[in-house]
Amino acid sequence: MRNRQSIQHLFIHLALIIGTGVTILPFLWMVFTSFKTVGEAMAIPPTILPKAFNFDSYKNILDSLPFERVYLNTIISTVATVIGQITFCTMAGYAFARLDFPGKNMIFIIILSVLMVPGQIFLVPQYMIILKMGLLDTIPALFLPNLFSAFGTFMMRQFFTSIPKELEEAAMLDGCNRFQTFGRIMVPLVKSGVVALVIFTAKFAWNDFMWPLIVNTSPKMMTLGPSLSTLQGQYTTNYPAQMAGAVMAVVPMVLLFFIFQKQFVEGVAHTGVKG
Amino acid sequence: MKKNLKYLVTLGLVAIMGATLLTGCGKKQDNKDGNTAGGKTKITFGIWDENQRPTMENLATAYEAKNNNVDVEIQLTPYKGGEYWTKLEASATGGTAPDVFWLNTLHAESYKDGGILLDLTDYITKSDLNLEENYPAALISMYKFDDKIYAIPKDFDTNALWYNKEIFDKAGVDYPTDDWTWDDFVATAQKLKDAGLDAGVYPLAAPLDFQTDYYPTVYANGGWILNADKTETGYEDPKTQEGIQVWIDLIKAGLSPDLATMTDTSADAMFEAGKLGMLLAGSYMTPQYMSNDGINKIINLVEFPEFNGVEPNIINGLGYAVYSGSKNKDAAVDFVLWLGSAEAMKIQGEGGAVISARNDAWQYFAATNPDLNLAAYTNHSDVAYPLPVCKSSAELYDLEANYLKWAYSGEKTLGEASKELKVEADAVLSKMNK
Amino acid sequence: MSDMAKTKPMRRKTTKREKKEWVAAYIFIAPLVIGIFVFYIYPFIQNFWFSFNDVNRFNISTFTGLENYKALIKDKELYRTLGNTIKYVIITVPVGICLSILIATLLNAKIRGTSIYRTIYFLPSVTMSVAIALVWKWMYNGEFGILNNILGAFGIEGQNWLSNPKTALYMVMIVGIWMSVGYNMIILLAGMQGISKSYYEAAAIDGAGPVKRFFKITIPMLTPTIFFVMITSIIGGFQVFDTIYMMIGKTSLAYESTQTLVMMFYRYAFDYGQKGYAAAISIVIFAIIMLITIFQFVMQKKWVNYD
Repeated sequence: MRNRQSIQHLFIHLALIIGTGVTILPFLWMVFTSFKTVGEAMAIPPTILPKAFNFDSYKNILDSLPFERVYLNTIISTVATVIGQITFCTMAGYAFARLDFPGKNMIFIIILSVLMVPGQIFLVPQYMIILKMGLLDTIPALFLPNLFSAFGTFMMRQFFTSIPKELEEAAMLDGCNRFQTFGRIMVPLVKSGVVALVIFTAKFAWNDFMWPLIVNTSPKMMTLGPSLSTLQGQYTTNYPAQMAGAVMAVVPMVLLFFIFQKQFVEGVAHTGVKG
Repeated sequence: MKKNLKYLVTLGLVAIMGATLLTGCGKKQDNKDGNTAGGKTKITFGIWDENQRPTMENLATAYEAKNNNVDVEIQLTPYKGGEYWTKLEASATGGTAPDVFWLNTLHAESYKDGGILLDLTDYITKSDLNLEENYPAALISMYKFDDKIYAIPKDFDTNALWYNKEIFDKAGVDYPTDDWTWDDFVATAQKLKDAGLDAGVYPLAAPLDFQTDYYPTVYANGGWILNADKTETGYEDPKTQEGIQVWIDLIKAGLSPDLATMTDTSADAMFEAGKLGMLLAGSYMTPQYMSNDGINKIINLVEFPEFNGVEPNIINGLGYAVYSGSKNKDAAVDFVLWLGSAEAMKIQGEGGAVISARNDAWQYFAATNPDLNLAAYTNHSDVAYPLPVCKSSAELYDLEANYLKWAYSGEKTLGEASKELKVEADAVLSKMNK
Repeated sequence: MSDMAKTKPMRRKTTKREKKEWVAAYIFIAPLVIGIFVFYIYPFIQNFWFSFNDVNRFNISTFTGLENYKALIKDKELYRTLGNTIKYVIITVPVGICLSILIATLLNAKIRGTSIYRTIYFLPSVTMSVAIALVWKWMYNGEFGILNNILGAFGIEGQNWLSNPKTALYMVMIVGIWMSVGYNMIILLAGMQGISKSYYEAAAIDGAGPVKRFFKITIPMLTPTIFFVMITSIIGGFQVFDTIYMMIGKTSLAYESTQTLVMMFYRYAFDYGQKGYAAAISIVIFAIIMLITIFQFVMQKKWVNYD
């Protein structure tokens, strides 16, 4: 039995390792290129490792951007988006999954329809709304439209639907009202889903590219990705600089993921669902 | 846990509302003095190229020094993903576009039609700019519609032949010269090939590039792309086709990589990796080549080879435009007129990123790098053909690439491809003129 | 969805309890619905209106009725891009989902190093798309690509994968699948955590092996999550844009065989400044996805296990 299990594990490791080869290569290439010189990065055939690790690209970025400010903006915008989306999507997702009310299907379909058109159509109208709100070139402009997500609502709805009804009914019988049931019973049960949504939302907000460039103008009101893109010339392709920027932007996300993914498993252990 | 969550939710809501409200209030004040900062008139200036930012900042500083009451604020939005135009169009729709901004020929006419460009004709007449005398006619015409001028020419680009000295040395072949003809160009490429180049190295590249490669030879050959009233395309003119065919012949002769290879690795990337003996490139590529430590010490350039007894070239350039909805129109116009002055054009030229449009300022570009023969770009720019443009140019360029590639790859003859192309392109023009 | 069916209007009077539930429900959805209407539905309606207009770059519109749609129906490009898009969706969605389920299951196993593996599999979804496009282009390169080198070792002659109209779309699909796996994996992993351990314990007592447990417990219990992944993958597949845009240029011989609906939309909206025509394209995209989604919601009763 024990032997059989270790053979099984060996196979799992083997399968996973083969997969990691392909997933990690572009990432490694991104990291290594950031240390190359322009000439090396343009070499044909391409090389993987840089001849020497030089940090010029990183220094350049730190010198040419109001870096602390931009980083802070990105964090504020990401945190606000995450909190907003988690709150609104969890609430709405619960209602769509568990409550009955007139117009439910219709409203849900209308919300989903937002996902079915190319996202670019929202840019200009949203710009006009932010303009009318007098919020152009401000921090809230960065995240305001992103607080509301059809994707997140749909996702949370699915997670709520897969929870056994008995748990909720038991709580209601205990005298909890809807809001208490939601906060005390239901949300902890979908913790894994909430964590997944946090990861998605954070990634999305962190990488949001076009919107900040359209709605904000001052370099000190910009987030990381768009800021870095302003360092690219029209006809010049400086791969090391581009990749150094990407590394600086991505590493926090990877760390965040590394920390949060453990929550998947722990989440359930704590709440102790009993089927 | 549950307490935490509730707390978190409440905190989140409060934070969001608070942030929105606070900045909402702060912004109102901003709006009030949006056009004047500390008693100064503020002019916003929209640009897209980071390479030129330092030069633009120098220009702003120089102007501010002369005009104490003006504050020029540069707003850079990148060009590559189309962000610059998307933003400009969104902000023009909302009435908040920058007072002064860069404009290119591709967008000029539709922006004029959209009514967001201020007519500068009268201001120019009243000033001492002397546009006709000081600027190439080709550049003025690009921003002139119905005899009205909508932008001051900023800079221009032409094309020249770059070469890799190392590849020539190794093959024992003489470097190109300014007085080359097309035949010399082809013969030398053949010599390089015959000398036996390393694997993956080619004498030259003939990418499917209209502005840098085939338009110059088409026009030098007496061909045409777009007629004067923009109702018809000239792809079926035998002279046009000859001007394109010479490039396809270079691929057929094995002097250039084939089209599939050049789509896998762009001609430019090959040149930058030291895999091409020669490559035609626009003047705007100079900063890129010079920043590449892999090749910047082993390359130089000469004029575009003479074709059909003519100096072939295509000239195109940007303009400085004023937003028609600007709240500081007079200040913005004054700044733009100054940007066209000899003084400003000199500052821009010395920046080295572009060739200044003004006739007396062309020289500065070549002077920024004495090791290179950069004058190859400006020696004959007075006879260069203006890039053919119309409102539907973006669509036409795409169509051209889509059809001509079959001729470049050899799947169709140029005659067949051009015939189909003309039908489609003329349809686009008739839709445009409707 | 079973509870959705119940919302059909019933003849009897609504009870006080039901009314209370309605109020609660509206309170729950209010913030989201208000936000979505202001920031998304209003632009959506404007876009719909634009599809009946000739719209310039600055949103100035002239009503033209059905002109855009009439022109669109005659546009060969619509059918070509639609064909490519459908091919893309039909292949990438099933393959992507199966692979994601497989990898999520492996990552859910109690083995050493799952944290590291999960993080590595997450990397594609955060790696900069320029880096992704460059690396894959390099792997596919006809002259010095890794793929051709590997094939060469087996005596198979390589080719210019991305310039060949017959292969390019499939090459792009591989990249699309590769990118989607990290994404879907997270959702599926989260879904797997919601499956009660007691089911597995019971199955183990019955002597069910890992394969049987996977098909008898994991898959059925995971169907609500799989349903979600499927809908969003189809929507994502219909809107595929940036990797293809970065990997296939306008002078590529494979250009026609790789252009998707959204790329067509994008060119008209931004490159050509014909926003009315672009809006009509976006409405076509919307209509197709909507039909498929509604069909999915109807069909789900047959296979999705709710409670």
